[in-house]
Amino acid sequence: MTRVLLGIYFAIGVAFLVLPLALVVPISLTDSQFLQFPPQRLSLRWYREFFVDESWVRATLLSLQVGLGATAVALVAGTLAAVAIVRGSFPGRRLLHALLVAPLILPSVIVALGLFILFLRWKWVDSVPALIFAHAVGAIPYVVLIVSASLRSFDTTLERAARVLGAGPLRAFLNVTVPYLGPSLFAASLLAFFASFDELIVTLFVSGGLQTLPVRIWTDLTLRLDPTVAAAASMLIVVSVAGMSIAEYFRQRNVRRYGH
Amino acid sequence: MASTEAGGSKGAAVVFRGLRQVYGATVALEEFTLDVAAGEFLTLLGPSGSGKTTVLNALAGFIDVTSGHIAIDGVPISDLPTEKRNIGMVFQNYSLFPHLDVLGNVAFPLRMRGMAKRPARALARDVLRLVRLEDLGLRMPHQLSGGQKQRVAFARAIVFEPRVLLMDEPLGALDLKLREAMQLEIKQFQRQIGCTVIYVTHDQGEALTLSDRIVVMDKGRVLQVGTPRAIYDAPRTRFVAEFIGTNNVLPIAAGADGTTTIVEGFGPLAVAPPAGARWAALRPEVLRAVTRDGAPGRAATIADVIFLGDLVRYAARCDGGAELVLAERRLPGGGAHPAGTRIAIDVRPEDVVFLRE
Ligand SMILES: Nc1ncnc2c1ncn2[C@@H]1O[C@H](COP(=O)(O)OP(=O)(O)O)[C@@H](O)[C@H]1O
Ligand SMILES: [Mg+2]
Repeated sequence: MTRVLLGIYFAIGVAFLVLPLALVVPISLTDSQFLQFPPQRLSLRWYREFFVDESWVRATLLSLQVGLGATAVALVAGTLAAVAIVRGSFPGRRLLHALLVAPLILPSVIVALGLFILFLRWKWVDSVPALIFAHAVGAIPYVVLIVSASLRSFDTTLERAARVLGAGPLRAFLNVTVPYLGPSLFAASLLAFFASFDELIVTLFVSGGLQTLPVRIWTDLTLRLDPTVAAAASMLIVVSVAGMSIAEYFRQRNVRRYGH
Repeated sequence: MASTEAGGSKGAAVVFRGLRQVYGATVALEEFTLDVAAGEFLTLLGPSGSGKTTVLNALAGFIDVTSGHIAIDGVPISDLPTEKRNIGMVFQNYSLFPHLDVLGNVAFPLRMRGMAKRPARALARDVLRLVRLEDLGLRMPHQLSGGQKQRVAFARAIVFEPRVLLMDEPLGALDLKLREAMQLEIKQFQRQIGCTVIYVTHDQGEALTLSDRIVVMDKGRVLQVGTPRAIYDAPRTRFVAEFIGTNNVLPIAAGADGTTTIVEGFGPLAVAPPAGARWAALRPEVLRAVTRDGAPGRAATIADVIFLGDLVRYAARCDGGAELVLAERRLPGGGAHPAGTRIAIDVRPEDVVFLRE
C-alpha cells in the first residue's frame, strides 16, 4: 500500500518537473500565431523567426558573452577563495565562506537591490563588464562549494611530493592540484555558466538597456506573446541538457581513468 | 643513469645541529644533532610519535624548525625552498600523481628541471628498468599493486640522481613477505646508486636489516646512535634494550661481597655491576636451558612454548620469581621441551648487558 502511494507521489513529482518541459517543446513547433497546445500543424517557423529577429540573436550572444565572462571570473575568484578557506589559517575564514555562499541562499531580489545601489554609485549600470561582475556574484557560490569540498579531500602530501621533486609552489598547484580538481572545476564551470545564463532578477535590476536572453523572454511575455518564446525556451532546454550530458561524460571518463 | 654502477661516492653528507621543533605544548623534536656520512644508509628508528617524520620534514623543507640548522655537504639549507634542495623522497602512501601514468610520474622531476618531454620519458624508462617495471610505463597508478607503486615511487625519487634520498616508512603498507623482498631490493638499489639514504621506520627488524647505522629515537630525543650490531649488543638504555629485538630486563642490586650482582627474581651473577647500573638485560639467545638434574643454573619451569621454525622460544618462570624468555636454535626434526618441564637456566656473565637508565 505504502509502495503504491509512494509510487503515485513520485509520479506526480516527476510530472510536475517534466511537464513544463514537455509542453514547451510542442508549443514551439506550432504553425499558429499563438501559444497553443497541442499544436495543430507542425512547423519550424518560430525557430526561423528567432534567428531572423536581430534582437533575439543579440540577446543570445549577449547571454553567451556574459555567461562565459561570469564563469571565468567566478572560476578564478571562487577557486582562489576556496584555497584560502581550506588551506589558510587566518581569522574570518568561516565568515568569508559564508559571505561568498550567501547569494545562493539570500533572495535574489535582495542581492539584486544591493548590486543595483552599488552600481548606481559607481555609475556602472548599462555595461557588459558590470553585468559579468553581477552574474559572477551569483555564480561564485557554486565554485566555492564544489572546489572547497574537492580540496578538502585532496591529499596535500601530493603537493609536498611535487615540491620535493622540484616544483615551485605555483607549479605544484598547477601540475598536481589543478588536475586533481579538474572534474570539480569543470562541474563548477557548468553550474556557474548556467547560473548566469538563466539569471533574470539581478539582470533586470542592473542591466540598464542591455537585454540578455532571459530578459528578452521576460519582456516578450509581458508585452506580446508569440511562440518565438517557446522556441527560445526549447533551445535553452537543449543547451542545458547538452551541458549536463557533457559533464556526466567527463565525470565517468574520469572515474575510468583515475579511479575517482 | 649511465653512471649508476660506480656507486659509493655520489651521496652527500648531511649535518643536523640542535634541531628543535615545538607544536604548541608538544615538543616534537629536541636537541637533534647528527652527522650523516656521504653514501651512508642511516635509519631513524622509534615508536610512532617519536619525531622521525619531523626530522625528514625539516630536511625536506616542509617545516621551518623552531631552532637549529641543517647543512648538506657543508652548505646550510635553511634558506633554500624545498624544490631547490635536490632531495629525493619516498612517502609512506607512495603519493604517486593519480592523473599521470607511470612514465609521467617518474619523468615528473626531470620535467620540473626543464628537461623536454621525450628525453625525460626516455630517462624515466631507463630507471623503470632498474626497478624492473619497464613494461608498466603506460599504466595509471590506480592500476598498480602496492609493491609496484612502491617501486614507481622509488624510481621517481631517484631519477634525478638526488644526493640524499629520504624514505618515510616506505614499506609500511605492504604485507610481510613483500616487505622483506623490498628490503633487499632497496639495499641493492642504494648500493648501485650510492646516494645517502635517511630511512624512517618503527620496525626494528627492518632497521637492523637495512642500515649502516641506526638512530634510536623516543619522545623527540635521540637515545642512541650506532651500527645495528652495536645497538643490538650494547644498548645503553632500557628503552633501546627492549625496543630492539627481544630482551629480558631485570632490576639488579650489588652483591654484599662486591664481586657479584644480584639479579632480582633470578639470582646472583659472578660479576660486579658497573657503577650506577640499575638493570641487567639478558637476551633470549644467551640464556641456556638445561634439563639435566644438578646442572648449574637457576631452577625454572617452562610456562609456554612458541614454535618459530628455526627457533623455539620458551617463556619460563624462575623459582626466584623472574619471568624470562629463552630462545633455542632448533635443527630440522629436533624436538622442544613441553610446557611444565623443569629446567636450569644458565648465563655467562660476559653476555649480560648492564643498563643505567
Ligand atoms: N603539524 C603538527 N601539529 C601538531 N603536532 C604535530 C604536528 N606534526 C607532528 N606533531 C607531533 O609531533 C610529534 C612527532 O611527530 P612525528 O615526527 O610525525 O613522529 P613519527 O614520525 O616518529 O611518528 C608527535 O607527538 C606528533 O603528534
Ligand atoms: Mg612518521
